[in-house]
Amino acid sequence: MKKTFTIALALILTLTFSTSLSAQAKKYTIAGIVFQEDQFMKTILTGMQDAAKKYNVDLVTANTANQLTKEVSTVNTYAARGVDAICITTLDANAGSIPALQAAYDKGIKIISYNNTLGADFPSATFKSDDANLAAATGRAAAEYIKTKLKGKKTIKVAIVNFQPLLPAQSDSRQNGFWNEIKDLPGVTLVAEAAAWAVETSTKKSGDILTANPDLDIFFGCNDGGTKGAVLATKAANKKAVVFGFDVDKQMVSFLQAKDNILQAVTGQDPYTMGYSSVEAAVKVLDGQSVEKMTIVPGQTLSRTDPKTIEAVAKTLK
Amino acid sequence: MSVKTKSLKLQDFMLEGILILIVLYLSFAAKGFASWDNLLNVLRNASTTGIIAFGMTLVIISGEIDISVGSAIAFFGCVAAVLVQNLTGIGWPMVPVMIVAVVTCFVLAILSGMFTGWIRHRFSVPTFITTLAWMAALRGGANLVTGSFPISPFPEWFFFLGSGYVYGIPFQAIVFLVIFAVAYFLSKYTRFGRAVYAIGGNAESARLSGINVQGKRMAIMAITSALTVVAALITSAQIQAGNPTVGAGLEFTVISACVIGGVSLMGGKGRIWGTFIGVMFLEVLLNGMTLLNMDEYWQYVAKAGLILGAVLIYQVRDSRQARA
Repeated sequence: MKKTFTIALALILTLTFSTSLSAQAKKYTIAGIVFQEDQFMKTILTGMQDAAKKYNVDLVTANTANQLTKEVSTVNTYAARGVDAICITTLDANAGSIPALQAAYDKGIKIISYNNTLGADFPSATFKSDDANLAAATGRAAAEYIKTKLKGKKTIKVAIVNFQPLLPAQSDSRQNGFWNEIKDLPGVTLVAEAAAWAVETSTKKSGDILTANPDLDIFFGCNDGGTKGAVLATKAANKKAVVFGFDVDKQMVSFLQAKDNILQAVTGQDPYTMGYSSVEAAVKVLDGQSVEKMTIVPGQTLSRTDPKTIEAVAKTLK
Repeated sequence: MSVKTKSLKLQDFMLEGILILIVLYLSFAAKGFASWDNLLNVLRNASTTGIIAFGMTLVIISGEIDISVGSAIAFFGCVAAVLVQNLTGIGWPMVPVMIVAVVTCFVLAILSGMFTGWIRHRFSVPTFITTLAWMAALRGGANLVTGSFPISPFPEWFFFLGSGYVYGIPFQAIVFLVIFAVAYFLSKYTRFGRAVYAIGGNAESARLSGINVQGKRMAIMAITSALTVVAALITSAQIQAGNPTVGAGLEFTVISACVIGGVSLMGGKGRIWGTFIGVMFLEVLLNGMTLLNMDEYWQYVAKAGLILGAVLIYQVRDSRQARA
């Protein structure tokens, strides 16, 4: 009897121990890959880290520094390491890392894409902004400005600072989303386009555009650097142009609150939600739950005409 | 120590001639190009690249290279911003805080430059390798100290450095021209300048002729690092923030300007005036192409063509002179 009891106890202990081991083994390892060091990507990582903490996930992260080759090798490295899922935004949505990601997927690794839509069907979920719609929201604010502040003006000169060479599809979506909202208004003319996504480059190029078009009425910056550069160049040149833009951060909010009246409105994405939702979706997929294949993460338009909202958003920004 | 001088010939000013032709063309073709405002605009745009390029010229003439300048711009701008944010946060008044921030950046820069020069001499570690390491470390450091977020703690008066005017001339353009004048004098009329050429020509001969090669190498690298801080402060004042993403790829623009200006990557050859022309060449071209609303991709091609063309011109000229 005593022997039977000992064997039973040993069996129970073994079972308990192995169950505990298997529970521990269920702690997922998820890779989060971003492609540059900026506030947008940093906020995505913050969202991923918070989700990882909540769902008790081992999160490993990498920054591919705008290098396609590094992106491919990073995917291969994580695949070789045997992570459970990869959350990624790729530099090229239709080629580039797709074969490497396909190979990872074939090994059983779940793929979640964010920020853009991969040209493949293996991602379990995608979280992205609708760039055209977000830019269109800024475009509507610009249209309102044109109708009220530039009423009766024969020619309304517009310049756009984009990031076409960096991410052509995304840059075009934003540019067209904005432009389509104002292009049919009487007198609206696109007089200059320049590519500059870093603030210092945009300051230079926007200054050049103002030199060529001293009577410019409106700038549109397709990203954060482009928008800030246009604001700073307009201020330095002491011109009357106003700026509409894309992306929100603390400095952008301070420009919206500045007395110089240069920056009028920006529409920001929600990178935190993108990052958080990506890791959350990866966990759900690994747990065998179903997730939405495509989720459009909404953004928010901040306009100088609505200082209360600007104030509220300012409090949430780092 | 004697330095061989040669008389300047018309072919030595080929690049200046081409620049004048481009300026004439743009004056007719690009609306707004031929104006006083635009000239000042070009000078202002040229200042960050130019200030560092003068230091880089000395570095390259002495047979070395510094590829960390782009990251250094980001790092020192961020260090200044973080110091200002933290020290004002604990109640320090703004003016002493700004002085502490600026002095700290200069001290760090000069020490890092001297270190690079020292290990180049002491352990024969090529400056390409050391500054490659600095490039990564400083970019990482900029992101570490800021948490990758732009920081805007600077007072309004600081922005004068980046967008202020003195008698109608952009302040940063004045800094650019003053540093050009000092670098020109230093390279042409001082023992230090002659030593830079001698070391670049043949370091061992320079040592045997009594030049303190180690000291000079340390000084050259430190001067360039200090000039990078000047550019970093101007950039931070211009963008009103310490931003870890600024200056990406700037090292190649700076080196391109030197090469276009006739500075030989083999060392021993080059002029500060040439670098000035190289910087202006690049900026005039970029300014003109933007005014012409030229496609960005064509701008890349034009820039590449310019660099290659300039190097070919110098090669042809040098081989003709060698044959003569």
